[in-house]
Amino acid sequence: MRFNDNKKPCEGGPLAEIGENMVEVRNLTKAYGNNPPAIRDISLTFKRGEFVVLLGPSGVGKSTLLRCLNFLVRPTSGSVVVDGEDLSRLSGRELLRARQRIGMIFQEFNLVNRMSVLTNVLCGRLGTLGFWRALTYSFPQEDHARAVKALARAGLEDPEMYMRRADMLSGGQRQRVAIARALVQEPKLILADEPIASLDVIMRAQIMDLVADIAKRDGITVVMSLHQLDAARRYADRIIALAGGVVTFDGPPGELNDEAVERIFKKKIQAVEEENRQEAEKLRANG
Amino acid sequence: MADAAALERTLKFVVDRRRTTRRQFAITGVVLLALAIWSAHGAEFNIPRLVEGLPKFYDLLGRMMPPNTAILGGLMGPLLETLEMALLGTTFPIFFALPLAFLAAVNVSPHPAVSAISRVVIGSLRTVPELIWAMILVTAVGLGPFPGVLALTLHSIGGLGKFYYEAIEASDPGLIEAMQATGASRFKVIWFGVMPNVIPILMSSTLFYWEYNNRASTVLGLVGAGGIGLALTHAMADFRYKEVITCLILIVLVLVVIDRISAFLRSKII
Repeated sequence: MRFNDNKKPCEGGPLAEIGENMVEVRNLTKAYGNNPPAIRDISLTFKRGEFVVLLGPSGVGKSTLLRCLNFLVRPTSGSVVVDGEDLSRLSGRELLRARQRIGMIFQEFNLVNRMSVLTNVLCGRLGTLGFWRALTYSFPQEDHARAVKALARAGLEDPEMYMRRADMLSGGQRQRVAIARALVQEPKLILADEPIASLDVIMRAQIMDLVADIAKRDGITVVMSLHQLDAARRYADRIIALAGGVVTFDGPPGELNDEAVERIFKKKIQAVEEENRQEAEKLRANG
Repeated sequence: MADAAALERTLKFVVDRRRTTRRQFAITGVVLLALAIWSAHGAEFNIPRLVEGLPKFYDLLGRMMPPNTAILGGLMGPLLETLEMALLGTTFPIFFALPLAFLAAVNVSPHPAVSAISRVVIGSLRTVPELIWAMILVTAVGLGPFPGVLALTLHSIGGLGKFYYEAIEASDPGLIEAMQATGASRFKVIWFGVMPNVIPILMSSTLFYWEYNNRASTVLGLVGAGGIGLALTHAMADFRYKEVITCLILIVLVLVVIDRISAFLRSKII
């Protein structure tokens, strides 16, 4: 692979328009075992290049919804269509192929600490790697080129660092490596599960800037779960709030006024208080 | 900064480094293979000889059949002795291994020198196999299960000690700091900041050693240290193969049951 174009990859491409539908979620419900459903009858549509934040305190179903978008969690009912493909209709092998086009980043980065930064990023190519190449950990030259490019795009440009073990890096740098791993998949959709919760304030801003820029310039749809209201307001194109497994707000950050915020977080507070009350009563009943 | 030319340079750098690593791996592989071939030569590794020996093996198996079940009743005594040796040989060393481990673990040891000396003690006890300990002790205190228990104890102090101090060293330094901040003495810091968290690991490694000692104690009879191993040795020496196979089957059955019990107990701990 040759780097023919003269554009600087660390700055991404030109602004991409928010375009056609990328993800369609229809009547999605997920219940774990016999418990009440974590998410209930959710229908949403995300567009190409849209930066969507799933907002809400923990335990409202954000993670479940996010993991249903790449079928890491299989929904109990309903369907998820990503880039025209209905995930629930795919065979096992087809699902793996569909996941190649869906990157994911995590709160704790989930890098393999004992592998080099470069190899961690190359893992983003595992979906296309043949068995014998995988067995011998040998990625083709084109994948190395993609990895180098993705690392530069994620803001890591020192080649010496690529050879270091992943756990030698700071938290912010590790999240950048994880983002490069997602980018190297050449995804149309990136799922981000609380990606800034383990970072300090300055790194949070840097990572949010980077992810927002990737959505905007590379035209990649980003769906991010988040519990920080300020970051959601500042970066998101669209905020979706969940409470009790259903959508309680869906709109641009501008419409998220104090009254709406109170509704999102207070419902949760009330639910917790109710739970505590029941717990206390149970304890009393047991003497 | 990162224009196409820079990316090209980075790619070349990265791929070159990859090649160097691969070459090092290949060299290591070749060296290991050479060592293996050299060892096979020295150890007279010989597949044809194994194949030639197979008929004799079948012949021996034939002479072992059917197992002599008449001696089963008489084996119960030695079997029980073996199990008792293993149980005592695992519980007795705990009282020595635990204090030694706290002296040896660098994060709670009173002094680096104490830690170093304790490690030498633990290491040398563990390095000598229990069979060798048993040979020495049989000479010293005479035949029977007692030297067997002592042999298992000495080896287990070394084995358990190492497991214990590694568990202690892996415990959370934050808890030690928090206990120190309360003004607790070294003993209290250990007892409240370390013990509660390491106890499951200590118990599980002790169970592991119990399993191990059950296997080891069956062998100790070979050097005269009592138990079912002694019965096995006698039967073997007198060419009473139908009794040998009875002993072997009994040993395997008991060890399987003990492994099951140990696995069950371990699942209850963690």
